Amino acid sequence: MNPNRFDLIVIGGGLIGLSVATAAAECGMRVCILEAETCGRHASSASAGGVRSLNRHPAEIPLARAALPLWRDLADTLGAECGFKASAQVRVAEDAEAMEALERRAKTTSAMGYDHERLIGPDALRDRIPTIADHCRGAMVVEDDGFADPLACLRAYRRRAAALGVKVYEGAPVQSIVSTGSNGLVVETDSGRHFASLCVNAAGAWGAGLSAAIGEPVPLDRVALQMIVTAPVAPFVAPVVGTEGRKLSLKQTAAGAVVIGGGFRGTVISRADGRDRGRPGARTIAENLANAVRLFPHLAEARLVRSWAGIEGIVADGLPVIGPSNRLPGLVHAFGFSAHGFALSPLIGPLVADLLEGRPGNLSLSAFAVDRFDPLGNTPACGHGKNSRETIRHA
Amino acid sequence: MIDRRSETKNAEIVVIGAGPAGLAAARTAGEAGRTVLVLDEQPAAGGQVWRNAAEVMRRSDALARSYHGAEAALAGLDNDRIDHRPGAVVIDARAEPAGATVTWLTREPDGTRRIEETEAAALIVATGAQERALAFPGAELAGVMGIGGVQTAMKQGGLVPKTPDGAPGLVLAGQGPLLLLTLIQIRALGGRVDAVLDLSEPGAIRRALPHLPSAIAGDPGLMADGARLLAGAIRGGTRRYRHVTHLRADGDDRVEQVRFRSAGREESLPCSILAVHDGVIPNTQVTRLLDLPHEWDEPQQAFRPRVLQDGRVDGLPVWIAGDGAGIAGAGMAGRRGADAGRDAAQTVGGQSVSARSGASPDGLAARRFIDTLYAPLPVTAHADNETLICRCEAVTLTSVRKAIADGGTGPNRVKTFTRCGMGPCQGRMCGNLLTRIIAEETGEAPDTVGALRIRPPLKPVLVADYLASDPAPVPEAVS
Repeated sequence: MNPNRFDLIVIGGGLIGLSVATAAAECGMRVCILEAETCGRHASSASAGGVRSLNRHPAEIPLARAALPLWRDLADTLGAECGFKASAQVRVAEDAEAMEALERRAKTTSAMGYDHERLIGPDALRDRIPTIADHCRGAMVVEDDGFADPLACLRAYRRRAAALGVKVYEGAPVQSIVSTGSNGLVVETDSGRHFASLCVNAAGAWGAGLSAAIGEPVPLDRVALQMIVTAPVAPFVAPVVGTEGRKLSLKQTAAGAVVIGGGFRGTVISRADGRDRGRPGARTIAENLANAVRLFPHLAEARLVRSWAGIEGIVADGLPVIGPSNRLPGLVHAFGFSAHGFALSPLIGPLVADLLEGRPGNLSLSAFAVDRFDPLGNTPACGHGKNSRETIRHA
Repeated sequence: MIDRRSETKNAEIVVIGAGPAGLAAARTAGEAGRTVLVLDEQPAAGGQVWRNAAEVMRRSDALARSYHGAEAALAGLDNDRIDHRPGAVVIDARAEPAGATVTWLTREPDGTRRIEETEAAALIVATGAQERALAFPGAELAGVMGIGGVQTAMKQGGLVPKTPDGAPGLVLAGQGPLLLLTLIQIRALGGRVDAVLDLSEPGAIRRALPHLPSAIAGDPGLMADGARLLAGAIRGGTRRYRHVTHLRADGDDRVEQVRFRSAGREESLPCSILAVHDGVIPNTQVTRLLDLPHEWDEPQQAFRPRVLQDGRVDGLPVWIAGDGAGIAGAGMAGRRGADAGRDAAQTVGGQSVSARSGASPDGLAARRFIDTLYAPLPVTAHADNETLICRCEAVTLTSVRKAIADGGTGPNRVKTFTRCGMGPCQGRMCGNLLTRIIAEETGEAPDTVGALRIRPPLKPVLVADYLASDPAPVPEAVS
């Protein structure tokens, strides 16, 4: 048998690709991952690690809620620690306007039949987080969310994938996906061709390049999501905290370090070798810190020790692309998670495996369809990405 | 927002570091008519080698002899075009073909700090050398330090490491000229060194001898200095143990004794200060932060940034001057700094300037002799399984090796597996060890293995110093 022949080729070795690859391998498929750089190099390792169903886009709420039980069992499923910790997520309102926004949100979601989000007033907020700044008016809370350690997750998934016999090719940027009709798909990299009847585009921020090249354009912005971390301070906050109307995600690790993110963007540095990099920006670090200090003034005395950034794809409507390609039979898209993919990652694997094997799922994916920006399908069948790795031939 | 009320005018050239190379670069660039901003972390210019120059030269003690040239170099700052900022901490730097941006913390007269961002047409990195890390059991104990720490104490505070009567003493362990110099200086300043543990490998002298004639011919002054050092070190009569292996420091929190093998015998000495040294390597934190290309220097077992003539980085308005571009010593650093400053000034100003100093690109005629005589110790020469490779995050040699076996074929992968290099020092101490251990375990060349990525901030920063100067107002407290 051709050693480059697989049942499934997963393009992209981030958490989404790893989740898909392990889920498919669990179903007995022979799987390989083609990763352009190293597994989890970008958005996966620059993730804040939030496992959040709080304040999700309505279309994403069912997915985020369905992922929670999988998170609780993930260490057992993968046979390795993922650093998951059940914890409340709290979205703080700093002023009356923000509180009104949270109230509107509560009305919308309860009208849709959800009851996981709960509003609390200033006293309850202070009971829960005694160190919160005096001006905070209240918050929206989800009790059964949590957070996990992205690096531990990456490692656990990699080990599990290896144990299941998934072949992982790193440094293998995909040059083209070609359909050969009855013989399935040919995926070409710098180092060789790989054959399979099924393929998943889990290329994250680069996923739109692949989809555009086969005539399925998706408006996606490649951004450098940045994270910062302080030296350990005395324990002061248990839940993961965000702010309504300001970009912030803050949590304290068991070791005392404060991990701060929330969607601030650094710079994408384009490099000649195609290995673009995210770089944190001095100004955005200052803005992010300011948002944290507004809620916890004592953090002004903490020490910032490190910042990092990874490249993530933000789709125009803030929702991922999940579902089968309309152009290339056998191809399923799962990319563009728009900075909230981490929390969904344990779900996306089994969900995509169901799609690949034609099993009906019980979650609606219509909001995530690849053609939602181009419902008439009137785009020319050949697109071009900027990088060679995004240039895909269509047979 | 970064403070926009900044009073710092954007300079034409930013020099990071005010040691011999940075001072020379600032002087020649200033003399060529360029405005220069010199950012230096120390309270006074001079770098590590000329630390606290004014006071040491006034004391004119045994230390002052190594301050030859300092006065003239420091006088170079006396130029209206040169803005020297002592106590400045560089936390970020970016370079593009059109120019460079440096983010740094000021040190205000009242001791507070403010964040500044400076754009410049050219950047000269003169961040010098750092001690090569030596991994051995107990290296993390209080009382164990690099020889550089002893040098700083002597130069900055005039503190000779002395132990009270009857207390266990001071032991130096390692190899290289700085160790010998420190031994002589401690004794000359009235201190007592109880023992010197020579960690150099048997046969090093024999291997180095063939390079001796060209070293003497090429750099007679330096070799004469070296001979005086050796003679002085031996004359002092300090107990010396040769061919030392299995070095370890024992103690609860502080070192209480040092154990080792010498000539096949187990030895142990009471010890309250253990100062170790295995030579110096280029400090590449800033050049890595700039994401510049680096190359492995095999004899020195360390990365150095890849530069063209005059220390310029190909394709960028960035120059690397002094030991940061490859170890060559203070004298050479001054010459390379002067060349870099001149070349940068010419590039920025577009006019022709005076001739180069003729610093050879190799740096030093005696280098091969010194590199062979004091060949860096094998990376795990004194480490056992439980020895800490990363002290910030307490990562052991065993964990590092396990991560490598798990597919950690590069430092950044091992970092994500183990947190090695993730602490406040950002791998400044363990990065070199990590690259060498991975190279050893995988059989790959260090150039292939690569190095830890360095990210802002270069040094830990107080959040308050980093905050917006005019943040959005915080609403009134909820009653």
